[in-house]
Parts: sequence; C-alpha cells; structure tokens
Amino acid sequence: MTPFSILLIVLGVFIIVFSRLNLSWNKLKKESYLLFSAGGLVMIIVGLFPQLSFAAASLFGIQRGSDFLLYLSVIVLFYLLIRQALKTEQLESKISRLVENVALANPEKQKQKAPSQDKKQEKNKKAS
Amino acid sequence: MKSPEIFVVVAAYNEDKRISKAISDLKSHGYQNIVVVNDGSRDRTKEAALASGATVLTHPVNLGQGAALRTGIRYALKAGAGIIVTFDGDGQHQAGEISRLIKPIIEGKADAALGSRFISKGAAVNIPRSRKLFLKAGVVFTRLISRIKVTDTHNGFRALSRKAASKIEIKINDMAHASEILDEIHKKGIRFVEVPVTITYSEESLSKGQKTSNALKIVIRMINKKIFGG
Repeated sequence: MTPFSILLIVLGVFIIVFSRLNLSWNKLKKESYLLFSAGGLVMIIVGLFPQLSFAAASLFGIQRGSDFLLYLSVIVLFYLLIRQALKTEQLESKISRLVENVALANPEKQKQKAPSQDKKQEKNKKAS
Repeated sequence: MKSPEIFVVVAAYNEDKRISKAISDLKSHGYQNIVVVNDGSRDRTKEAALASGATVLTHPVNLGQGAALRTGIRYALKAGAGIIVTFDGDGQHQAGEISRLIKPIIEGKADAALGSRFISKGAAVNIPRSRKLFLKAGVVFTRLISRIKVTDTHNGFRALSRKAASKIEIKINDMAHASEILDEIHKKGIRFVEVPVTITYSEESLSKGQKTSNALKIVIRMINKKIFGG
C-alpha cells in the first residue's frame, strides 16, 4: 500500500466521521451528510483498491488513475461551488425581503407637538 | 380634477450630515410626503431625518440603494402616492426642479420622467472628467443592452407615475438598479421623457456616491440579468 493510498483512507474515514458528528449535532443536513459520506467512501475504496481508479480512468480514455481522480474532484467541486452560489443568492434574496418587510411594518414619524400643548408650556414657563 | 399626491423617496446611507438639508429643501418647496429609507446607516441618519419631519423606514442592515428605493416605492404606493419622485439625500439634487420633472406626468404626456444632466438645459456642476467619461460609457452600454435611448443612465433623480411605479420591478439591490429601471421601462413599454436637471457634485457626494470602479460590477450585473433574469 502506497503512502497516498493510506492518506486517502485516513481522509475518507475522517470525512465520514466528521460529517456523521455534524449530522448528530444538527449542524449538517442529511442530504449533505450523504453527499460527504459518499465522497469519503469513494476515497476509502480507491485507497484500498487503487486498480479500480485505473479501470475507471481507462473507461473514460484517461491514461492514469490519479488524473482521473483529479478530474473527478474538479467536477465535483465545481458542482458544489455552483450549488453554494445559488444557495447564497437565494438567502440574499430572502434576507432582502425580510429586511424590507421589517422596514415597511415599522414606519416612523416624529410626532408634531399640538399647538395647545405649546401654549400650555409657554404659560407654565411664564408662571414659573 | 384632484392633483395626484406626490411622494418623495430618499434612499439614505450614513447621511446624517446632509439629510436634514435635503429634507428642508424639499419642505421649503411644499413637498410634505417625504419618505427616507434609512438603509442600515451606522450614524444618526434616522434621528436627523425624523427631526426634519420625514417618515423614516429603517432597513436593519445595509442592502443597497436599489433595495432602499424598492422599499420606499412600496411604501409610497401603499400610502396612495400618485407620483413618486426618487431623490438623493446627499445634496446632489435640487428640490426646486421637481415641479419641472413631474410636469410631463401631470400633463399625461409620460409615465416616467427621467432626469438628465446631459441634455440641453441640464447641468453637472463640478463633475470630474473621469466621472463624466464613466457616465457616457454607461449611456452606450445601456443603449446596447437595454435598447433604450437616453442621455443619462445613472441619474437617481426621476419621477414615476403610480402606474409606472407599480409596473417596474427592481430586483437588483445595489447601484446597478439604475440600469435595471431603464431596462424595465423599455421592456414594459412605459412612456418616458427626459427632463433637464442639475446635479451638483461636492467632495462629500463624490466620496460617497457611485464609484467609477463599480462600472464593471454594474456591467456584470446587467449581463447576468439579461441572461438569467436574476
């Protein structure tokens, strides 16, 4: 087993354990947990059976298994980036609506003093 | 016939030193329905606007001028506005010119009156050369992307009839909303005219206002809106 295979296995186990813990702490959605766990599992499998990556690489016409893994990870990361950007946009839009509705629900205007009140105050001043 | 109620919407972000003057200017010209949208200011903009007698709507966080105008326009429409004027709170616009701006709407000749500093009788006082170049480039860009023939694309001094204000959807929160409004006017077939206005630049308004470096951001925003509609 090569040092790279060991690294892949350790990272895979770490990702699965880390995402499982976050799921139990309600910091991660089930959908994301499954996605990360699947990624971790692929890493462990490739670490244990590197010949699988060679086979998959040749299937796609790529010569080296490590190149295949690199291309695959770029594609996955790009997908995750787009997903994250869309989510951020949605959140921004929701925040905008919320902020606007808060503002519209609370219009403020300084109360004008009633003229009678002013007269009373003047009278009081004079009396004192 | 009853004359339409005029609402002046002022988007304000950290304008406590200038907002009172702008509101007094508006009041001295007889405009009573002044709506200041305090867009998450960290200074005393809200207090200054309230003390000057405006209605204040406060965004708890800063969203941008486009979002502030959207809030102000929604409020004005709800309050029964017949004409909505968008006005800057930094002293660049002159309240005395509102009557000229809204005239085509009152006369039924247009539903949107767009202030222009570059047409005959309009003026841009103390405008730096780089800013002028940036604005001229904006005109060319808007003609290309929105196909609307205007002489001044990033002028916040405009008046909208109730009909036009109800039709225009501002989706962009930041400065690119000005291009978006023009795009909406063209897309929705809103009748418009350009009216000469005076824009006065001061050191303060230049330091706070539209940055020339924002041009690229606006271009990207508008292309994004054209392609993805967002």
